[in-house]
Amino acid sequence: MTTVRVENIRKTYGDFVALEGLTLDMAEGEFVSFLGPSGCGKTTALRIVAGFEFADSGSVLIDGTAIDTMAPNRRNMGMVFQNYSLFPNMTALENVAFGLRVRKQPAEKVRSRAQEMLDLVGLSGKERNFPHQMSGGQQQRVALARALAIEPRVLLLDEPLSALDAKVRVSLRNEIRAIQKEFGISTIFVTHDQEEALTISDRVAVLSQGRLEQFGSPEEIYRRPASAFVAGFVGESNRFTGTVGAGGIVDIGGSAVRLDAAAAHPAGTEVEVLVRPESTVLRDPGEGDLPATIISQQFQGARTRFLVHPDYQSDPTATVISDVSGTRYDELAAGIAVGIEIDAKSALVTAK
Amino acid sequence: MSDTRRRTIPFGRWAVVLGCVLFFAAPLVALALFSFTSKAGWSTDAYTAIAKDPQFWKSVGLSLTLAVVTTALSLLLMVPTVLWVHMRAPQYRSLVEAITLLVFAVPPITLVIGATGLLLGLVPALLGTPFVLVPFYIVLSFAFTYRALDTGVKALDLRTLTDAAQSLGAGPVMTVTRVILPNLRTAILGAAFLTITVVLGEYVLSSLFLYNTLPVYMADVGTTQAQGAAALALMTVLFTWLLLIGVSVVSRRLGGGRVTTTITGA
Repeated sequence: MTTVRVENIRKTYGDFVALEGLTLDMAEGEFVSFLGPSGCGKTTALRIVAGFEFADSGSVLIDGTAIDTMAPNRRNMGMVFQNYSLFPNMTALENVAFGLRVRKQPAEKVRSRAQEMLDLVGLSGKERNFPHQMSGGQQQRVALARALAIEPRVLLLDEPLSALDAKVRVSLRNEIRAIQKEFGISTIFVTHDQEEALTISDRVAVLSQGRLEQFGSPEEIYRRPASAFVAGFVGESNRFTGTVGAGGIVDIGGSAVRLDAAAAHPAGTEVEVLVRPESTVLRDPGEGDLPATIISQQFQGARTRFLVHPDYQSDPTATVISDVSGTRYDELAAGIAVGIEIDAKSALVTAK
Repeated sequence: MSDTRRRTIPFGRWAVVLGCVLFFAAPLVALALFSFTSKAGWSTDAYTAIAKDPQFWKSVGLSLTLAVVTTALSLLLMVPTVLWVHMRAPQYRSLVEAITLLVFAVPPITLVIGATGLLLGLVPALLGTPFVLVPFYIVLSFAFTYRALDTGVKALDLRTLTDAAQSLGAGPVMTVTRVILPNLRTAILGAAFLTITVVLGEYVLSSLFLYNTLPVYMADVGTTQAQGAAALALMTVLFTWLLLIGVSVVSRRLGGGRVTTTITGA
């Protein structure tokens, strides 16, 4: 079991700052996802941990020892890449055995370990298949088996599922998580897919423009986003602008809305309020926080999604998404006046 | 519903194929027929005379030796160059491509005079031997060798394969020998084939340096024995074909450096 510490990493390419002051700690056997949009620096961070890129400053520590000058082939980190990275001239079994052969392990041990890994990823019977004879999902399974075969200190996964179709993606990510838990390997998983990151991670590091926006459990990231970026990138959010008044009240379009997070800002501050669709409730007219009119509704099984137009908005296209559940909303239809109630505890309030 | 569409015979397509076959085959057939004629009618005299001429075997030996040496040195130079350009200096790709074409902009006589001066200073011992032709042949085959290798490298995801090998513990030498080169076999064989054909067909430089390579011998024979020159030309073409077939068979047997295709789904 291995701990990983990324300490104050800075990386630039010419004038472009890819990473700035990235610091995070990973516990033994933890599954951490680097999540963010394209160009946020998540893959650069992973490649620095792997040793394929060198940081301008800062350090990567494995079990407390800095490995910044260590060559990638000496770091003992298994890696699965986004592009299918199997060696085309080798069969599935030879691919998995490659790292073991490099380590000059006895032939019999190499063969049994490679076979064991292929069995683990559900590819018994495909030992003699070349990469071009396998589907994308199978190739990534072999790549995973190959990375695990060398008993790596850290497993690095660089968007390994992004080239696969939706069904395979879900099943393979569950397999990856199950195997990771079974082996207890500290794992870094790079993805731009928030659902993927929230589903399988112990903790998620959200990056934007080379900076760490938030590092926390999936629940924390979703329910208590540390910034407007995190709230906007992870899940859906309704955005309101308003002015902080006295006693945790925010004036939104002339309505006084009580929000717990507003107390952190001095009166008169212009703020942005971010509210999850499920943190709103629709009330009768005259009740709730913001008077509004229903535009449309979508039945989604366990819940119903309403698109409502706040009355204070002059822009007719401005909408608030409200996800509600229960039969009491069955009567509501387009054109009916309602009041939007915002959950005071969960709304995020940030200064503009 | 049954398919009622009438199957049309692609006459146009066949006409084009037939035209091409005639265009390429007719001169060869004519060459073959001519090489098997003599004043007395059909004859293999031209072939017998060539086979009995010791100078022919000397020329064949010299050309093949030069071809082997040139191919080996050319690959030793170009394989690392192409890999280096792709992995370490992609910004120089267009420059290297331009350099490989430079030789076609220089007249052979200028090339010979200029390069001879250079070789005289660097390796004077080379000038008295037929191996003086090797550096010229290497330069002449640059464009073909580079392109054959470049195409092979482009078909591989070199960076990912290198990173994958390194993450599994392989050093640079093992990465190149166990992962990259085996996947470039077809490209390397193609480059070797092109280099050999350049050497076997080159006349001007060997003539200027006064070495009796196969093309020079062929030209000499042509001045006195027309059938003999035709027989030599036919043998050269057949040898090149055999070489090409050999390269195809070998690359197929070796697995041909298959490139992973992207298929999604389990």
